[in-house]
Amino acid sequence: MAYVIAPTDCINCGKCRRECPTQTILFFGRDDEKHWVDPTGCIDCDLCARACPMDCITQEPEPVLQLAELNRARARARAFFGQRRRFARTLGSYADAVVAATRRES
Amino acid sequence: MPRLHDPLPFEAAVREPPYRDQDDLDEHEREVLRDRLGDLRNNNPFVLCELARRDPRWLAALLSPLLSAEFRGVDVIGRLAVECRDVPWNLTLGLARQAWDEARHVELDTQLLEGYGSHVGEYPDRPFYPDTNGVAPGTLDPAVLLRVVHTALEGFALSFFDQVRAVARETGQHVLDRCLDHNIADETMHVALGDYWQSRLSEGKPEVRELARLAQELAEVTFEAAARAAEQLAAPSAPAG
Repeated sequence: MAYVIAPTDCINCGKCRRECPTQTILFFGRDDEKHWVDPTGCIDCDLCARACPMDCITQEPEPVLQLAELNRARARARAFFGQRRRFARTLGSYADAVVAATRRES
Repeated sequence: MPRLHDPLPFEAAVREPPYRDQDDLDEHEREVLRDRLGDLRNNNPFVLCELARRDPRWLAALLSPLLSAEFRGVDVIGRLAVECRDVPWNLTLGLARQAWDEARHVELDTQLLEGYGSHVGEYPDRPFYPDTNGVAPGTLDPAVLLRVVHTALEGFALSFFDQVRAVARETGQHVLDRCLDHNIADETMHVALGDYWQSRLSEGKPEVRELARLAQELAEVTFEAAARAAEQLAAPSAPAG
């Protein structure tokens, strides 16, 4: 299955594109200048649909992905979330240290 | 006596903004800010989000750049409404309404800031978005600006407001949560307005369309720089600043 964006309702805010863990939502360079989910990279995580302020992203019932494509997309998603986790952890440790230091000073 | 439709002289389009760029502070002001923030580079929206998640006294520093952005919104959208003349009247009305929205957001954010014991101007601005104060009247291309301000900037704001709202919810800041709800609803309308009109205005003008696309790509790269700066700062080997 894959998610699809209704082009007439999409306002191009880009939230779905920033959330997509497989970076499979395309916008720049598209002739219709609308966001579009490339079905060969979609892993049905639903994050784009939850992010959309217009509720214009829905699940397409047709099965699209081959197993190899799905595995490649999943690997991209794992890398994406791994990078996010590392960022959150590093920033979290840094914030803990800053908060502790500024409390001591005040 | 100039009439409403007469172009403004360039000087009149620039005013002393109620926000200041961090780079413009003198040494004493930088020292005061360093004491308050621990490190000047902590004045970064992503870092401040994490700090506010741990201690609500950082909320004022987090809200301050949001307020600056709203002030800039009043300036930019007001200018667009007045200076872009050869556009459909409905777009002018939409922009006028948006300028009013931005003014309401200024009011909301000012009161929130004061509620957290701060005031306008206490924290300087770290703009990660384009400044149009130096752009002369008549040189603003509405299709390009709509793409940069409405699609790129306000679209990015939608994502960032979601993060701030998550902080507000986690820390039990119900008033802030509610205000951000209003804000997000308005921003969604602004993105929709910009998307519709930039597409209409650039219809059949491939060069304008291309320029607008490049401008949006550049703006998005600039916004991403804030996240990269936070990442570098938090890296264990980051030197003190």
